[in-house]
Amino acid sequence: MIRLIVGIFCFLISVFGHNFIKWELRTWAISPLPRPESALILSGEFAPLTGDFFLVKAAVFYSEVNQKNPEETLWLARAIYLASYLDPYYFEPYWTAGVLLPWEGRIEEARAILTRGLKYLPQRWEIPFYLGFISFYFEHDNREAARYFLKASRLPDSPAYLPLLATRLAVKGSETRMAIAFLEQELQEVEDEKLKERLLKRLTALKAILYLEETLKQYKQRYGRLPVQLEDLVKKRLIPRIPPDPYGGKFYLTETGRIWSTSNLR
Amino acid sequence: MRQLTAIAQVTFKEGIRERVFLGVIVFSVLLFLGSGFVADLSIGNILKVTQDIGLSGLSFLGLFMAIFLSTSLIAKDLDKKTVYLVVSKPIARWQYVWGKFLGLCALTTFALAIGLIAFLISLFYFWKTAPLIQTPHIAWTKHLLAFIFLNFKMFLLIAIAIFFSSFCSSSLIAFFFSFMFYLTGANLQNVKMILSSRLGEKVSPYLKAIFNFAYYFLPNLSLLDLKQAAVHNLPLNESNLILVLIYALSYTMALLFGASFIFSKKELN
Repeated sequence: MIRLIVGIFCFLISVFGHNFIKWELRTWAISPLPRPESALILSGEFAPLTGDFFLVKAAVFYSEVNQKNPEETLWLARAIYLASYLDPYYFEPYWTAGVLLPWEGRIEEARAILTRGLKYLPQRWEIPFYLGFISFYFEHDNREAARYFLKASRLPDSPAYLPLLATRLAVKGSETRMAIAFLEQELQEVEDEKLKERLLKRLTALKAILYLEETLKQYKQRYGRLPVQLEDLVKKRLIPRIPPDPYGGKFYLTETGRIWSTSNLR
Repeated sequence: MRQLTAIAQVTFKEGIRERVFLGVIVFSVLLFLGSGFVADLSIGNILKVTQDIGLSGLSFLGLFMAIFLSTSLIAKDLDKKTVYLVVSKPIARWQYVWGKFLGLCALTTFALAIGLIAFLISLFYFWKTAPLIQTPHIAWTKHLLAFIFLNFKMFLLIAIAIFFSSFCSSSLIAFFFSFMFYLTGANLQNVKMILSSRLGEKVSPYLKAIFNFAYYFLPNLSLLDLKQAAVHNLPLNESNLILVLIYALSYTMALLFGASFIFSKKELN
């Protein structure tokens, strides 16, 4: 009888004690990643499944953790690379690399993953499209971007506007407008609710930037120069107020005349 | 011929009566039926993850059958001395080895077929119901082809298990050797790829020579692995596939002849 009671007691301790063990997503997710080659050898024929696991981990981490620090974004990039290494024919790692990573400041990593994808999935128009977008929006290299967009436009199922976009890029267009078009394209293909929420947040921020840019143009037309700071737009009654940044930062005018936020949209 | 089929039948029945066999089948059928819910954790094309879980699960099920069950069933024969009853009958030793092999093959194929049916039902269900914007194309025939090749891989593994069981003193050692053979065999192609990449430049030439020897000597199981081709609908070279089948069958036969030879010289006491 005593043994039974002690047994039940021990069981209860383990059940209730479980609540007191601290479990944090940040530390859970950021576990050390194996080297891609070691992971491939260790998982053997189960490598694709292992790749799926790391992609799930990366996706959960991306959508659950706010304000990632550089160490965490590097982890994210490495997890996505690992997933694409373990199953190079799987499209989703390239999608995450093209759509999520550059915005986290991991442009080089995204480029490396996508360039590898060109080799394995040469028929997917999205991969050169993402590369072109990175060149255009983050690196301001319009010629390189046009080259990638043209490449994407020649592949099956690519949207009809791509060749037009490629030619229009030769003449410098609005980067923000382009980023909005890009995001709206992506939003059509996302099912995951949390991910959708993230992308919508970014879309709101970009729309606010576009709105401010358009007003800046009006200001320049009227006064022949750019304002010193964004608040001047409100003072001159061009807009009622400066729209809020959904990421919690504040929009400001950079020295080069671009609009950016203190939150870096992260 | 009659003796051969008799031993095969007995082995098949004996395997089905194992409680482990039933447990593994129930577990894998549950896994396959639930694979879509697990895959739902992922992003984008969740059907790909369902396929991965299903095909990897089938591989794992087959692996268990081929290595664990084969070594333990033969060891049971030797330990419990039931092998005397067989050998004392007018049955040649080679007939015993081949009979065992055929019985184990039938057993594994039977288990894999049950798993395949559960997997295909669940895949079809999730294919029809998954809330995807673009319903992905699923290469059903390539799935069946992958299943057939999986079976041949298991036949080869069973032959490996029988070969090691024929001279190892305990089933644990036979199991260990067979598993090591499987691990290296499944990774030969990967290691070859890594060695020929930039990372391989640092590897010493002696190690590379050893590897090249192993590459031709050990069974290249990754050739029989068509999982990725089925999931991503990759193009397959037909004449190459036939060569792979011939390779697998001849390797299996070689091991079985080796095992019969060793077994006929073995002193049973």
